[in-house]
Amino acid sequence: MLDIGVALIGNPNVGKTSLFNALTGARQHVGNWPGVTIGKKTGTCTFRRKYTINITDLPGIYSMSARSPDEAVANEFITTADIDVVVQVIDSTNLERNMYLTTQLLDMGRQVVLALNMSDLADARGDTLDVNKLSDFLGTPAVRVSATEKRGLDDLLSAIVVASNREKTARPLVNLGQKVEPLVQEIERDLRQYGGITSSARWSSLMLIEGLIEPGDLVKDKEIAERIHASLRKVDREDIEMAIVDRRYEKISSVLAGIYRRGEGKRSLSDEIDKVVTNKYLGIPIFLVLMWGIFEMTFVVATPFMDAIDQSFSWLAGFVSENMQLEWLASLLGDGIISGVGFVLVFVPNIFIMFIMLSLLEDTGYLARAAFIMDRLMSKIGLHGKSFIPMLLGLGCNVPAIMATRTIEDPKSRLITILTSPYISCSARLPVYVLFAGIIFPRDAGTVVFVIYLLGIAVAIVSALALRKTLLRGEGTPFIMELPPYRVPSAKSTVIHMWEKGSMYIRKAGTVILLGAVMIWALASLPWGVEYGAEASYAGSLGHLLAPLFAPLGFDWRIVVALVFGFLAKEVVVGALGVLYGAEEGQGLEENLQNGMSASASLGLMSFVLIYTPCIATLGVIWKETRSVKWTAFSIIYSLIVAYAVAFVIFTIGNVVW
Amino acid sequence: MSLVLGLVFFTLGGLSILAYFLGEEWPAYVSSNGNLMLGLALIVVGAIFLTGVMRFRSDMDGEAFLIVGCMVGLSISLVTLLALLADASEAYLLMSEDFVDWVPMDDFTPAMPMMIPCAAILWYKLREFKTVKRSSS
Ligand SMILES: Nc1nc2c(ncn2[C@@H]2O[C@H](COP(=O)(O)OP(=O)(O)OP(=O)(O)O)[C@@H](O)[C@H]2O)c(=O)[nH]1
Ligand SMILES: [Mg+2]
Repeated sequence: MLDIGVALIGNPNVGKTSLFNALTGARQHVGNWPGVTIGKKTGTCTFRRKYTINITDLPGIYSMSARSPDEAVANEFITTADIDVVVQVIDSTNLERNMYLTTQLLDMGRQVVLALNMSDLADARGDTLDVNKLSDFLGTPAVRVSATEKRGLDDLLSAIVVASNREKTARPLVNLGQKVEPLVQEIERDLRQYGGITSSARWSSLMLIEGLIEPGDLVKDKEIAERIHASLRKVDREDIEMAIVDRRYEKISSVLAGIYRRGEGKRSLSDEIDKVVTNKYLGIPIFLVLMWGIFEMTFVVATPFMDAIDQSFSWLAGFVSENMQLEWLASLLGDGIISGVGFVLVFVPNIFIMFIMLSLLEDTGYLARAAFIMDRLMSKIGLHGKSFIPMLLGLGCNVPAIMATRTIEDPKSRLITILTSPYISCSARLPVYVLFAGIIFPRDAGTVVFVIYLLGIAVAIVSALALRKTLLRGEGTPFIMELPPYRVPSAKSTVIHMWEKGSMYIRKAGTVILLGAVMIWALASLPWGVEYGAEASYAGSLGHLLAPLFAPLGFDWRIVVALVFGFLAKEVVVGALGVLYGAEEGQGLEENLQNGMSASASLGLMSFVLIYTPCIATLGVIWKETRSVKWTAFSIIYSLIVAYAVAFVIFTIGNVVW
Repeated sequence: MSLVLGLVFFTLGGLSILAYFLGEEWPAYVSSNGNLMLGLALIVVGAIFLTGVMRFRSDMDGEAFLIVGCMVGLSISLVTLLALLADASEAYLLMSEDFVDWVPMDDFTPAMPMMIPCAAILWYKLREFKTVKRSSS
């Protein structure tokens, strides 16, 4: 077996991850918007039983000058990692712009193979390209592939194998012209004399000229570093940079001139749709209508499935309680595990539908439009459209949402987005809303849930504004984001998407939530001899200890206990309520809740659950992404205060109104 | 075409909102059950069509508005249709107590039949774009 190390690089949204999945059989997240992949991921595939190819998928970059943390990952990997071949994935429908990166990669002296992806779309548009001539001109192999249709993969792999055997020489493609070349050569000479650099001398000198690295960081020899400094000071850097960019594009056009013709294509439907959905006045209403549709689906369509699951669990719980001999075991299973976990599982249909809708949002390409529409609004609070993407992803789960902030360049904007995106309600909080809205406002449940989500967005926006004005002052950076063409998502990828996310919920039910349910059951049953769920139990004491604090919000002690355990994960809240409220004889949880809570307290509870710290996992990522205990603690405390305040206001106003 | 659809959607949305605020017991096929959000959604669709009308008059890209209006309208009617189906399965399959005297008419909203003209126009219009719009699957 021969090992070959390969990196997949390319502009955002060109299908790198799709290609990675097709080659390695992995199921990494794919979506029709730029910035899906934010970290590196390695997988392997064997080729002709002889080669083991280790492939690394990277975040997308437009050029080698990284601005955001995700781009930095790709950049660093390409410049430092020990890889044999760099595969640049190219969107065939967008050759010119994609090839800018190609010219840079060739300067680096890497073995480059071009994977001309999305060839199916180029064909459909009627593009013609002479691939052989292209690779002759560039001096590097180019292969037409289609990741989604799995075409050309074998050709690509053989090209990789061939390239890995070629000797490594820099093949700079672009002559940078009178103004730049002499400078490059001058610095190259200095670098050669110094000797201690690992990448190609040409590339390093270009990096120095473009100001991507400082001479002092690259060259440890003081004297040479100073000489480079001097050469750089001689010239107008901006002028030089412009010249470099121009020369690269000129070269690309001249390469493509004879061999590529873009198909006519009819008017593009994408453009037509965009005229409407990004319309100044209609954009936001359309967005809201679509969101409302999503909630309506999540809430209404799931109901029969939920009821079916609910009925089977109540039957099971009853069956266990009646047929178990050991009383405490019957109670553990019936009152604890089945009521708690079963009650959480009831919401599986909601969660699945929610994830289907979200993956449609991502795969069609509307997500990028949403960011674009919201940009106008977001810029008022000193953020930009890119910050809106983590928020939308947060509808599924806050953890990937917070990680998605890596695409944001400005560190302060990024921090604000990290701190505010947990207010976007994730799917784990949905059960709480569904439960209470269903009981208290059966007629308008969908609408109530929708309003709660809007409240979350409002809290996020107000908090972002507050942070921007106080702790994290600064200017926003301009918003640049490509709008990918709309695509009809494939049923397969939607189902995979939904299943991966949805099954996580079920797995959680088997672990964290099970644990939570057992703990609460134990607290509710101990010390020995108390009646289950009575106020004298440990759970009762804990609840009563904290209850006075929450009395102004109208929460009773059982709610308080549930909220405390909700720190583990928000699903535990309903699980805990199932365990605690299910206890009273003769009545279902729902009747008990209805008797125990006023409408205004329920609304207050929903908003409290919306706003306070989502779960341990989210805190974990906040800490990981900010690397700061201070900001993590800030997030907890701030959330608790806001949650309390909002719930209090709602409860108070609600009492007056009703 | 755009004008007719726009006015229809507008009226339906208006009726639904009116029913919400007046709380009158109108049959669902007039009031869409007084669903405020649905009403607003319908108004938005109406607005898309009417914008389209204005654009057509000034000879600009009204067509885009017609298409997107149909898309959004179609999605809304699909949602209401699925809601109806969900309630139906609740009533007939699970025999829930809450649904003993449920009849399909209770959930029938006027947005549903709007599906037909929307789908028809979409199907007709989208053929013009066929070559560009190829699915990614
Ligand atoms: N028609 C067609 N669509 C493709 C092809 N390859 C990828 N796509 C679609 O292009 C979109 C982007 O694919 P990804 O694999 O997420 O792209 P990426 O380069 O990893 O994107 P980032 O991680 O955001 O940089 C998805 O909607 C894919 O379904 C292809 O060969 N043909
Ligand atoms: Mg990717």
